[in-house]
Amino acid sequence: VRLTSLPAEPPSRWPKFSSPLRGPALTARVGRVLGIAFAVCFATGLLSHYQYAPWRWLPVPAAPSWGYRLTQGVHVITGIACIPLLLVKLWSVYHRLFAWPPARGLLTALERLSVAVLVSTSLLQLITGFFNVLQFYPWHWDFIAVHYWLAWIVIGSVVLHVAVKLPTIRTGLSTRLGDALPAVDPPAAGRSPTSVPAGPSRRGVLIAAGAGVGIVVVTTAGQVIPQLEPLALLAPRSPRKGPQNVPVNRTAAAAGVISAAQSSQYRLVVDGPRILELSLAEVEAWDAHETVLPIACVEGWSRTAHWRGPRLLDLVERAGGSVRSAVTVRSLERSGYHSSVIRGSQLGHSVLATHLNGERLSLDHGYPLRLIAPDRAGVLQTKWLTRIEVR
Amino acid sequence: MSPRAGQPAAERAAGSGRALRFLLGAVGLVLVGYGLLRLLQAESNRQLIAVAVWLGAALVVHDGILAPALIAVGLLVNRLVPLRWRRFVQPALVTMALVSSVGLILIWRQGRSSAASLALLQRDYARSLLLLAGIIVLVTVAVAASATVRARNMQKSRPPTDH
Repeated sequence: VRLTSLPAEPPSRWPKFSSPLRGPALTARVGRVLGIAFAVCFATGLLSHYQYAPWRWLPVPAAPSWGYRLTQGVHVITGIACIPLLLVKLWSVYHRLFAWPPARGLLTALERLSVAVLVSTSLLQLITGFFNVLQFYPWHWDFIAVHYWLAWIVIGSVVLHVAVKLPTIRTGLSTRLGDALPAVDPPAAGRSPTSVPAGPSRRGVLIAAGAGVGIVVVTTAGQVIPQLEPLALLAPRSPRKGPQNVPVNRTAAAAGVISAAQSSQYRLVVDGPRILELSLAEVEAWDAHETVLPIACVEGWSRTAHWRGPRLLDLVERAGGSVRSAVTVRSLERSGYHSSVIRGSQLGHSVLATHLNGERLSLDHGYPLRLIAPDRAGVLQTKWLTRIEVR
Repeated sequence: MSPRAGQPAAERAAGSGRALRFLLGAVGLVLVGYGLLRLLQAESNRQLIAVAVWLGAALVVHDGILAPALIAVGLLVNRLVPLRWRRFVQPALVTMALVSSVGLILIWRQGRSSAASLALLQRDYARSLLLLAGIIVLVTVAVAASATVRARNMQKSRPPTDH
């Protein structure tokens, strides 16, 4: 198919681009970094998604206990770093938007359509992911479903784009950055021809872009790496703040559990082959176990804390279960993430915490009782526990 | 013995490159198709229309507003900044623009989330951005100064004749 009705030359007011900086040498180098970042983001995102619905035969392991902290911290920081990276990448190919003719035939038209899909899904994916970190949802769709399925479209589009552009990428990467770049501007009036370079070089632009992305990474990483906290100028979370020096994502007021959690009628029911019904005092009479575990949220922040309380497995065994049971813990909360399933090695290493950093658990942290397990997404560390089902 | 042993090396490389490209392209299309199909199943028609509108808006806002605005800023800098300083000013602006791409969103959302107990958006991000801008200016001035001094020294040490 050939589009012959278009004039050979673009309309007279069609945008023209003169910057010698743009070209495959720069784009391929930026694209390589962006592609790797997207791949890392996709892989860590899959791991995060797996936390919510693991296969029965492969429960999320308990070791390393900082696994989710690492992978989700990396997911969010690479995602944020991809915002400036994508902007640089798109700037470097912006002139291609105005290529003339717009398409030479059906194949190039399809290729341009695939680029449009890649660009729009990438932009939306990064923006909605960042807004989720900020708990800002100016849309009416389910964030998790759309973010998850868009991720497949984005990564597929990236792979397709690499396939289409592979010869250009090879040329770009094998071209030295300085080549084909006019080193000296036409001399201005009254200045000798040995004058200074016209503007930034490609290397200069790459260094500037790298500095911008680097600053973003260093100033946000403090929400995961405590040593970088003094530099965390742009970190959305401040993990040291928050009740008992540990942030929460859902307060007792938001969950609507303030009176139920403080009621004298409060009981913990363990429903297994045998049924236990315990008051808080009876739970606390159990052998307390002390553990140091991070609370690591899907939004990328994390914080290590000391937790104390009976081992979940002790109660499960008393109710007639074992480490091979599938245990569902349920909250006083009626909406949101009000229950979670814990199995396998996580079950063997989890604690029903009554105390946090030496103090009684505050209401916002899940008083009277919360689950804390290693390598587990924060939202699955169910708070305000009232029922444990052993199957 | 390869059946293509007689071919020139470059041609063989191009052939294997083509096979790799077709394979990659097929994998990419399958991934896109899978994501699209599952997305269509996951959300209602109204939600899907909203997603499509946002996807279109993302393209329009970037390609139609953000990119032209930044290019206009670049042209303005070209006109206002003397030639000899441009190669220092432009990279500094690039760095600042990229840091701002994240910083401005944080400033915009700051104070709109009443989330003190969540420890969310509890910093003064405008102050952070100003601080980073100051650092970028300082580094740029230092780089420009050292480059100028080096250029002057080179000119002094160079013999007056051309080689």
